[in-house]
Amino acid sequence: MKLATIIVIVVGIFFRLSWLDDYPTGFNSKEAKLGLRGKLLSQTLIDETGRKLPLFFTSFDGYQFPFSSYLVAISSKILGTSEFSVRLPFAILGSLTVVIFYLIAKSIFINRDKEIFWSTVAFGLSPGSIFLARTTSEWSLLFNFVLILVYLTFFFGKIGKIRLFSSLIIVLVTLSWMFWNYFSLPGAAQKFKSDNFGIMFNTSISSTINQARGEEIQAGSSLVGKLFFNKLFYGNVLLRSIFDNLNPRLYFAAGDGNPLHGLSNFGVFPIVLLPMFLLGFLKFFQSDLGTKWKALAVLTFILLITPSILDRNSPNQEKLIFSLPLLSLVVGYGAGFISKNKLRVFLVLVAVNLSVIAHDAVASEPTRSGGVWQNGAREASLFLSEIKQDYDKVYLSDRFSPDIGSQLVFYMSNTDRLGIFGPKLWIDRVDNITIGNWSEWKVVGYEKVLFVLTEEEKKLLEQFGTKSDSEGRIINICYRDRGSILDSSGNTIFFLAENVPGKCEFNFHDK
Amino acid sequence: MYQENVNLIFMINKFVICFGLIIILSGLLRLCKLSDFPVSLSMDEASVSYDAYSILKTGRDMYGNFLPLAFRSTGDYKSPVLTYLMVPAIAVFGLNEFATRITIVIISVLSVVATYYLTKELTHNRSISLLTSFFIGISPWHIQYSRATFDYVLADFFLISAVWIFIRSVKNKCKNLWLSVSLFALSAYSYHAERLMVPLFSIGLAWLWRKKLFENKRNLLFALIFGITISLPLINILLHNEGQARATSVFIGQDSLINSDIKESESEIFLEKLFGNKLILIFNFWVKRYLNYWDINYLFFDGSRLTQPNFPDVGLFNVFEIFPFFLGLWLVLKPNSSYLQSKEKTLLFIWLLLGPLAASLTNNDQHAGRAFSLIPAPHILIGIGAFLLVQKIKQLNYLCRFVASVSIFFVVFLSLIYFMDIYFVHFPIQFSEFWGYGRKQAIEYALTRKSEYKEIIIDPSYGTMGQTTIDAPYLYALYYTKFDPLSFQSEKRRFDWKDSMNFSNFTFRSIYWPKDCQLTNRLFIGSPWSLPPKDIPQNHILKTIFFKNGNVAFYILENLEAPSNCQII
Repeated sequence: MKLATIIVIVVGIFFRLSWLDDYPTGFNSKEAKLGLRGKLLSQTLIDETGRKLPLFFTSFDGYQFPFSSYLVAISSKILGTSEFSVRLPFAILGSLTVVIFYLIAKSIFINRDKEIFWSTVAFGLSPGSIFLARTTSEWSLLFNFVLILVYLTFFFGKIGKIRLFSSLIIVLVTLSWMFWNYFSLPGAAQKFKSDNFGIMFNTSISSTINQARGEEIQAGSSLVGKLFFNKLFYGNVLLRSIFDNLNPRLYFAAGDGNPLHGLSNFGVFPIVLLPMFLLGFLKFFQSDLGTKWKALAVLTFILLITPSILDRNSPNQEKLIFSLPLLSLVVGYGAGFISKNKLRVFLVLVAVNLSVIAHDAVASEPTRSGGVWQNGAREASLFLSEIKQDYDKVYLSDRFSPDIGSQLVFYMSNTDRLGIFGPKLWIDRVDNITIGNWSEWKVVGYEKVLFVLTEEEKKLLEQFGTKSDSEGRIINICYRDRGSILDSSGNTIFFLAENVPGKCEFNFHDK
Repeated sequence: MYQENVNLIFMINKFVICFGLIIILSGLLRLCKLSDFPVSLSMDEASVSYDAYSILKTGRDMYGNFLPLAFRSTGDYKSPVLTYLMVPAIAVFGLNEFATRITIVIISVLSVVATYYLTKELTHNRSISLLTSFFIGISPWHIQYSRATFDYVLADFFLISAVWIFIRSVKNKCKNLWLSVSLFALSAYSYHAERLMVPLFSIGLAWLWRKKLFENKRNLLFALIFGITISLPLINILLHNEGQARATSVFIGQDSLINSDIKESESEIFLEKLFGNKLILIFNFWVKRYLNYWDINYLFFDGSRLTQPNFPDVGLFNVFEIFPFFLGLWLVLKPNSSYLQSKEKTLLFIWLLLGPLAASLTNNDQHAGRAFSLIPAPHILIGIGAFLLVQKIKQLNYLCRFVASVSIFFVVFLSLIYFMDIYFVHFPIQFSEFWGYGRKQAIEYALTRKSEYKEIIIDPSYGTMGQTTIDAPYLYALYYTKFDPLSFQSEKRRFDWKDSMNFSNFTFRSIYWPKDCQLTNRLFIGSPWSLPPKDIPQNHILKTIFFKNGNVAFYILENLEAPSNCQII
């Protein structure tokens, strides 16, 4: 059994570390920016805004905690700048967490190999956990640190009051210092609230209340409306969010559907483990463990899913990662009540289930989630890197990715631009490539210009310089089709059009 | 001895009064403004009741089939039992909304009664049985579907009765087993979902009570032969298009969300065949659908779908029932539970597991109607949970007991008010257009002036945001004109729009005003999308009908002569 558990751990680590640069397919602008920042920090010790070794970083999404950036800096220093080196630190920590979880399970289920094995299977081979370990998720990173801390505090060696107390003091002091600095930043408190308590700042709640009251007035009486549709509705929304996060479908079948948080077609755990989980859950509450322990388990679980409950887009699978160890332990506990023969059948089913998931992750998920992961940024960047010097200007759409400049600089080897953004939080120009800023898109005189556009913008461009030929066919006299850029799944992400120099002048802004 | 008898009589009377009150309350909640809410007959209601009217008058359905076992409808075939059961009500009250809906209301109240007896058979506890029937009586799920002539309610009534009779009969040498079997068969005849539920459930029941059944082989054999005999016509239907059309059209594999994946799965690559084949894709998709039926929000907060998404709604159960539900679940699951014996407990869980199975295999997510056969299993859990609460309250001192009782009464009362507010106020405003609202008004108006026009043209599509709703106006026209079924059956079939049959001077088809403006001496009934206000002469509009949300549903427009701006296309 121990050997089997070790095999599971090795397989779990393998799934977390292998083909990191290919899956998740695509390398989005956040990751690219992290990679650029890591490169800058490793080479110059300054970040993209020019600050030396800052404690907090700034980005589109507000302030970022330092851990991920410095980890990527170390990785970039050792391995150079690549998708692999950006994702590797997260994957290593994720892999370490599998071992840590195994050690925790071993401490909880003392000498109960079946339970240890199945909890490790649930956690180590969890598609949700594997997926997040392969991304640059900050929540996943935080989870890894917390789990290591929990292990060192409660499960490593003999627990003493001094160790517990000192751990608590260290954690509290560190957190206080971090948050003190964080909240000193302008706008940080507001951002923190909307990021972590977004559900309560959802403006649709008040508009719903107003609509309900309006309909009551339309029906002839406002009294009932005032009674039922008031601020209490916030409580209703919160309660529903809690129950949304308790749905077995979320954990075992579908996840939250966001391809950035997990595989969009599967849950956090393989569905085959659901019966085992339900059995574990039932047996736990049927056990004579005592009400206090049972209540503590329930409260702990609620606490662990609270970040997801309070999220604006609850449930948020990324934020649910804290609950994974507890759920895995319940799966293991359930396995303890199943006979060995039945567990063998379960093992086969888990293997089949995981194969199906792995197959889908490789064959279908890249197409399904390619847009969200900005699959094709690499292809576009490498293509532009090759041909940009053939043109006076290149105009690149920012519809595909809001910060494609980061991706360009990340992939281009022939640019002088290091990735320092200057006062802006994004890159809007790389060499002769103008990104977004439609108001600046102009063709004058004999300039040779390449347009790199999404389908929607291509239609807009086609409106310029069209004219009917002798047979009544509409032809475009100003632009030539230069083909398209495909992502790694073969889908077109950009259309290319170049102007015919001297033929037409044009100002995108006028349209 | 005398005092004991008095106490017993008092107890019995108390139960009778409580039971009577529950039935009255159930009846009131289902009968209140029955003709007006839902705000219009649905297409299915119009179809079923006109078929019943046709059977009453001619012994044939509207298509001229003599006493059919599957009624042809728009796009599929309807189960027969409801149509035949509606005949007496239509004979007594005439062809109107009340007559159409009263049959299912009566069946629904009978379901409350049947639930009481079933629960009593399972728990041997009258209080739990009363509480369970009370929760069915005030169930938003049950009330909503009982008020609108849905055959789910009928099929579920037969199912509840069948299980009740089954348990009674196995305890009594299987004497009435044939009756249980015939009720199961009636349930399967009544609604498509039961055609999956009933066989599986019967197998489960037979397995649980196999010893008792085999002890009474003669009765078992008789029941089996009887059951098979009365099911033969149904089996015959299921083997033909009448029985398969519905299942094929709503099967989960037809869902647009999985269609593209299924098409992609038709690959010759080995790995694709092994791990990405159609069966695996559908299974994976089905699991999500099935688990969605156990979403707590769906069950207790928004499952009724009486309002738009994210708007306050009502669950399939009242919100306050969430606590007794989980308490009941726990009481049943905990070791040495005294509320249900082992077999009864297993039966309850089989019911809970199978209830949403058929619904989950169809192409709509969380379809409360198709999952109706789940009733009353969750209500029994709620009843058990509520019973424990009542017991606890009884142990309190007088003041606390009084406060707790008043609080509970207040919560239940508020819940009912909330449900009624959603049902009678918000549901009509937000969904009147999806219930065919306006068809009645339009057709009744057209009927008053029918003889003045060569042709009355009615457009089947309409909606607030576009022509999003397409119905079968010919059914409403047949219904509200009370068109003679014999004439309809004998008229030559004329179709301009899918299954919509033209009759008399009614024509049902899309209106295209730039072209149709040429047609004179016509009455047009169409939405603003087919009769755009900027194009139609305002003085030609005879009447405007509005949805409950205030938007224009239909214009009724006469075209005695072509407008001046009408050009020949």
